[in-house]
Amino acid sequence: MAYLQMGILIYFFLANGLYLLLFLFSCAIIINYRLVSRFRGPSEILKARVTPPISILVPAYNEEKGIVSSVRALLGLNYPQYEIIVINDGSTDNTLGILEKAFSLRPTAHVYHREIPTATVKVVYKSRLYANLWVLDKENGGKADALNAGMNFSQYPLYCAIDADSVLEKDALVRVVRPYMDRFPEVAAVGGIVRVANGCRITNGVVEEVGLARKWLPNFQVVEYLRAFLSGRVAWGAWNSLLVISGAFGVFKKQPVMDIRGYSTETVGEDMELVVRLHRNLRRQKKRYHIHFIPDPVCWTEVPHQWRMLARQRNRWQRGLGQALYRNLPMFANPKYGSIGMVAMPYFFIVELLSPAVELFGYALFGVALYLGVVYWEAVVTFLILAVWMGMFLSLLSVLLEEFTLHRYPRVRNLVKLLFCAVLENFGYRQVTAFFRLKGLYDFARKENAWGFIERRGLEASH
Amino acid sequence: MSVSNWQLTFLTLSILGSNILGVIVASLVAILLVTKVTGIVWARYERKRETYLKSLALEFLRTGNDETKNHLKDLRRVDGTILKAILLELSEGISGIEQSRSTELYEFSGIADREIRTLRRSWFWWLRAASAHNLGQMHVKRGKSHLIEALRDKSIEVRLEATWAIGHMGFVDTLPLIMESMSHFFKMAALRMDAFIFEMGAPALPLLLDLCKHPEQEIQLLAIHLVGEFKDPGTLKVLSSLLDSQNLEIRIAACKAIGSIGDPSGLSGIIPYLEDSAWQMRAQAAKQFGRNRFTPAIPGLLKCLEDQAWWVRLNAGEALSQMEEKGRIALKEALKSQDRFARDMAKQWLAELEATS
Repeated sequence: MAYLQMGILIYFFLANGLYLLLFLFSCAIIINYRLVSRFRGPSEILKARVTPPISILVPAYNEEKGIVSSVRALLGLNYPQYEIIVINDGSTDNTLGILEKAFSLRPTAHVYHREIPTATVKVVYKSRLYANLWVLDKENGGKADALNAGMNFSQYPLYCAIDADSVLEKDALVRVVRPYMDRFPEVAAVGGIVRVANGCRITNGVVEEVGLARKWLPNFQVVEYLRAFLSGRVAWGAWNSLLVISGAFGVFKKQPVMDIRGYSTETVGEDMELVVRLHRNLRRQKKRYHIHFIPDPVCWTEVPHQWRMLARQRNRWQRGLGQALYRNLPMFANPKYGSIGMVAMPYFFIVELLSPAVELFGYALFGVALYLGVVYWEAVVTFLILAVWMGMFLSLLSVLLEEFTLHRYPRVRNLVKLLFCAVLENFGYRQVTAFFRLKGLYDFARKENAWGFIERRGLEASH
Repeated sequence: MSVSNWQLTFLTLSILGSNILGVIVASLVAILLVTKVTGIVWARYERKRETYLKSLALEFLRTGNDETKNHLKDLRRVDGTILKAILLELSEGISGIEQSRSTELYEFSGIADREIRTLRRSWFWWLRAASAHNLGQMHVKRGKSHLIEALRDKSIEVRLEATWAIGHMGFVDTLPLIMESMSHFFKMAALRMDAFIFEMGAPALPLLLDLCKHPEQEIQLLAIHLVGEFKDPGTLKVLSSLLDSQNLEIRIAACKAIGSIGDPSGLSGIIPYLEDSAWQMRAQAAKQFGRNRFTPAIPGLLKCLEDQAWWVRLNAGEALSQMEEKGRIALKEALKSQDRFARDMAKQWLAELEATS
């Protein structure tokens, strides 16, 4: 029993020590990024004749509630040259009909080139109103298959994958393309921050006022997203060991992704799996490359507003994580893959994948130990206080970092609410999500592969 | 160590850890509050002083009156900062005598000296970069040597700002130094160089043509791009010679540059590249013909509709669709082709033409 307890404690300190380390690195990187931004404004990149054109891929499955506002937002982006490809992945609702009506689509005789195998593309539509808007109507094959179809169809060297229920900020592409402007040949992909749209006022696909939701659940997720994006991913990106670029927003160079035959249709975490496989292939070929994370370009997305939906989402994320790691197991602790194999993969396995199991097991173990009287109750209580403090500390630091550097929540009321959320999420929310993730881990072990439907209210209704 | 002992040690450490974390969080929240309050106080003070200082600065720009200028001498440091911001803002929309007066005021109030000192000595790159930018914006010509020195700064941002400043003040002789310092940052450098090169105009061309044959690929690509942007048919000889380079990227860049120039003699020279061994080159050549509506390439493009590579077929079809009536006739002819892929592509672009006409 004592050894188990000690194991749990070592795990706790190791995991939190790593979180803290990542956070400190991220702080330095974000501050540097903000300083650089003072000298490289979006207007300069907009005027440039060398800005690489981008294809924006929007896979849509039953997105009738939010698809029009998402596409409208995309049509209003500040970027010199881009095309939008919406892939209707066999929706059973009226997604296609709504798109046809809103953007005056017409069928074309466009030849679809299947460089990566995908489900059949039935018709290629083009908008009569916007020359850069295309809609592919295809048979259902899942999100990864839809993205592959979009990639087959796209004509530009870079592509940006976004979720249909997300909204990009006007300058998001201009900002995210910056690493490509610095060193185009070496940059394989760039990820950007995804933020919670619930509570924001969105009109015609444009975030007009940033705010927080009335319910606590989406607001806990705001803090969680801040923690994940501002600390973890920024630091991993700087070390070229970023293992995940959110499916909601990332810009990839097309050729390296085509070289690995696009997204895998056999996982539910296709975004992470793709990035890990990209690392694997590029490292195997000994190519000089970098996968960046930019802490600024913002994509707003609707998060689950019900526990039921949150449970499905977290379950899927955990399974996706498990699948991405399992499918690339030869990289694990393999020095051939450098920092990815020796640091990032073990970290994601030990800290991210196993943490819900260890956390919940830890609670149970201390309960049993207390019951059996083999541990001082003072030690257990102090440990729990420390655990809560540590959780609060990391969340509060993320909120403060956001306030000092990016400052996206202009109202003091919002800041105070976020600080409260950073404290309150440690009393129940984190434990419940740990349970959802544990269930995901169990389903991963059972090879459960269902996507898990998440009901959307539509971005413009989410506040 | 017995179980009890390690539990006690752990208990002590936990309490200590909790306290430390608590103190840090409390300090951060306090810093946040102090920052917010200071920000509000500073904004109020700035608004108040700005009105007064701006009226003096504007009067001097209008009249050049020495008495007005003297009011702006030996300002307190905070007022100096406010005046600097005012002058930088005003300098954006002025030229001629007003511009030289704003530079004079910048020098007179001692801000220029402070900027040069910061550019030379500051430990912080962002302060050096801002100083380089400000010196350029305010046309402080005596800062030239310091800006040239800044081209070797270890921070790319400082180098970029120094480049911009030098270009803004029109020091043509510094071009080789700039190319050397920025070549590794291709697109960003090209972006800054575009503006710089076009301010310099024709005198930059011979140098750029030399750089098209530079041993470093990045410098070569940058120079080829910039030469293309000049749209000078006199550069075609050099660009055409690069079409046979060993390096595919260079060949593609040269093809694009020739397309940018759009001169018929140059475009004729890329017709043979519709049969190049690399599909990327064939696709690029087809694209340039479409962009320039270059009808002599129609027979070659018709052949490309039967190409093995889909991108070549697509670009050839698109190019033909851009060539108005002659292109339309060619696409109709392709409908009778033996090759199914060519027929499909022709069908696609004819339908596209019909829908858009």
